Amino acid sequence: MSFNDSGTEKPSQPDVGPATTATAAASPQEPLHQFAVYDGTSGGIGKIAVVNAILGLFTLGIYRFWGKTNMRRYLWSRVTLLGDRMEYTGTPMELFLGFVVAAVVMAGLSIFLIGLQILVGGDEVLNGVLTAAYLLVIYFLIFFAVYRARRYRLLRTQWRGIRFSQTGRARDYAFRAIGLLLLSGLTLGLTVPYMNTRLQAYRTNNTWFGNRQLSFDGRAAELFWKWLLALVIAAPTLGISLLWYSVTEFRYFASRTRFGNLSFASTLKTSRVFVIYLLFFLAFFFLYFVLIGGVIGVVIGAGETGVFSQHPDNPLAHMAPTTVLGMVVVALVIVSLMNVLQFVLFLHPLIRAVSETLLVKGTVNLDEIQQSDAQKKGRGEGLADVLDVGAI
Amino acid sequence: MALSDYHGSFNDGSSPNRHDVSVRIDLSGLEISGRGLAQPVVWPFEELEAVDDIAKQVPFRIGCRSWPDARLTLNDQRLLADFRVHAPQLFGPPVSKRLRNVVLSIAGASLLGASIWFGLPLASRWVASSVPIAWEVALADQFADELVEEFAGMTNDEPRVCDNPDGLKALDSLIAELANAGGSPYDFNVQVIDGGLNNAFALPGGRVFIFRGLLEFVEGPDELAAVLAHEMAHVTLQHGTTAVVQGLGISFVFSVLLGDMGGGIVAAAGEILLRMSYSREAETAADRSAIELLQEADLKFGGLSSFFERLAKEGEDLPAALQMLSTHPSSEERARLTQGLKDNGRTALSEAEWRAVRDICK
Repeated sequence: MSFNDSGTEKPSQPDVGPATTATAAASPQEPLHQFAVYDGTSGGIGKIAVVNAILGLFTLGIYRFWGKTNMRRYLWSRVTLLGDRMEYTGTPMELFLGFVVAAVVMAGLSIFLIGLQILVGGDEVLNGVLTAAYLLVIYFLIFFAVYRARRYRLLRTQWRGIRFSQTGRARDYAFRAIGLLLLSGLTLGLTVPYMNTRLQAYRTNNTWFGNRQLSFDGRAAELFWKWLLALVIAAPTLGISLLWYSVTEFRYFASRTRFGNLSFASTLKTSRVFVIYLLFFLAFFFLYFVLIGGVIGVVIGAGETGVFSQHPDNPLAHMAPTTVLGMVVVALVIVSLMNVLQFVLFLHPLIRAVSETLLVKGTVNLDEIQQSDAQKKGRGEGLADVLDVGAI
Repeated sequence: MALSDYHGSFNDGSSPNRHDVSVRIDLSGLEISGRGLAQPVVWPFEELEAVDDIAKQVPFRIGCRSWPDARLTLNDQRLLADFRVHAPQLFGPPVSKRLRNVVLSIAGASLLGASIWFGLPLASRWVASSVPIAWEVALADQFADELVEEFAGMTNDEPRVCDNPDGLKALDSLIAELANAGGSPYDFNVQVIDGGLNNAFALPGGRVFIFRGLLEFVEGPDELAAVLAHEMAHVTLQHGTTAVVQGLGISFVFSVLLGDMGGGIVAAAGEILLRMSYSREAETAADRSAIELLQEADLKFGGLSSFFERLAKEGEDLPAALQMLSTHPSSEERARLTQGLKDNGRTALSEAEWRAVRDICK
């Protein structure tokens, strides 16, 4: 590892000097070093997740903007690069305002679409056109929201006081993504690596640390045969081959990413990710079936009966409203537990696995990096939250 | 006041370089100096901001409002004593303030919940009343066939529409009589489906479906007229349309409110809850309106109570899926509706007409 960390204190030293005492001492000859150290604990994450779940329940979900911010502050600050921790500088109010704006926009759009559907009535052709248009709009919004949310997160991520940023337009990204998605559909999925590579290129090439840009030069051709193999054996391997492909793709993408003269490599193994998935799903299904599978099943099943019928065959109708209310509460508690589980048993081990296997080599002169011009103003990722594609 | 120097590292907010600095605490704040800094940096106490949980984390970072993005990393917990005195904001808001915030948000959420619970049904009714009838018809047409098929399927019947001409004639005249009496703006269209299910339902816009099973179950034309009046009342009072609007509203409100916190399940459950309370109300309203309608048409209304009471008795042996009673008011409630009223109307159909209607599927 050869960040020139000497900075202004030893300007005479060339930028191959030891970076931090920790990494340099490990082995000066070895070109590859672990890039990031993650020291979050399941206890620390679990505590935040439980508090978020409980307060989220009692505030009808409004607390989640505060909860998310706390969680991110924790996770970001547990990732150390070159001896210094990352920092999340977003505020709950930014997320909340973003949510309010997005909710209003989505409400208007929904009313418009529903009105349109009622107007079209029973006409099958028009209905088909409308459904297709609706799907396109939704997918557009999802990609748009994901890109916007990524920009917000990068702008609120700092290391040694220097923020990350994202250029490019969410609109361009969304159009590109929809085009590539349609192409994948037309080719029965054969061009999925092409789609992923192109989108990864757009994201990475538009990512900045300070005034320096990341770059990505991956080519889908190098992934194509692996993808084909994964597709062919997907059924006999119960889909595990797809996980293998995802991990392979992740490693490839890492290897084609550069920041100045820094290049990356990942040694993440499919087996390790598989174990994480397996444990998470086992815990998930244990909770789901053993504890209240029945309750949720009844609630969801009844929710699907026709709203039009005045006499629905509704098994819940025989229960007192208080019983139903009780079941709703139980279902909510379970959903919250799932959220907690997702953080503790899935996200946490995954971040650990990725950070432990992400290696770096090369040099970058920190003197050349300056603070980003990109401003932090604005609201945060409302659309992604409303559309439920917010991730962490 | 300690005047000793502490060791730390400093990022100036414009470059990612790390400067080893010594930090001196004086009366007004921190004085940060080091070889990499052209001149000492002074951070006043009141402008300090914590980046990390400084009470628990070592090393910990702090920033300064007038030096955006600059960070000072310290690892000496002896500093905390000074910070507690001069920069208490670094330790976060006091417990009392946090508690107050929690209480305030829960109160706000309760208010929000209450306004949804009470406001949504009102808003839905208002929206439904401003929907043009043509839209209601278009809406119902989208789902009518599917629903009829589903209901007929419960008794493994094909959804055939019964069309014996004599039966149709008698049925249509009864409908016309009820429609004229009620002065409803809706164009009613009643169809009998050749299925064994003992049920009837109304769709927004005026379409009413009766199953053969119900014609076999009712005792005489008065009960049939009562059921028809009840279903027509649902249409005129826009219960179906209101339920649709309300369902959309609930799923939107909850899925947006809870976002990625599992809004989907809550939306489904909330919809059931509100719909249940709504449909009980709607059934009572439809009963009340049906009695008025029958009286207006100068027909007997006793069929309403006798029909639902017999249904209740039968219903005990039926599987849940075949019951139509679940959300209906109890017979005591219904008795209260007719209390003090004289049931001295005509019988709805002549003996011959009634027979024709019964045999409409033959």
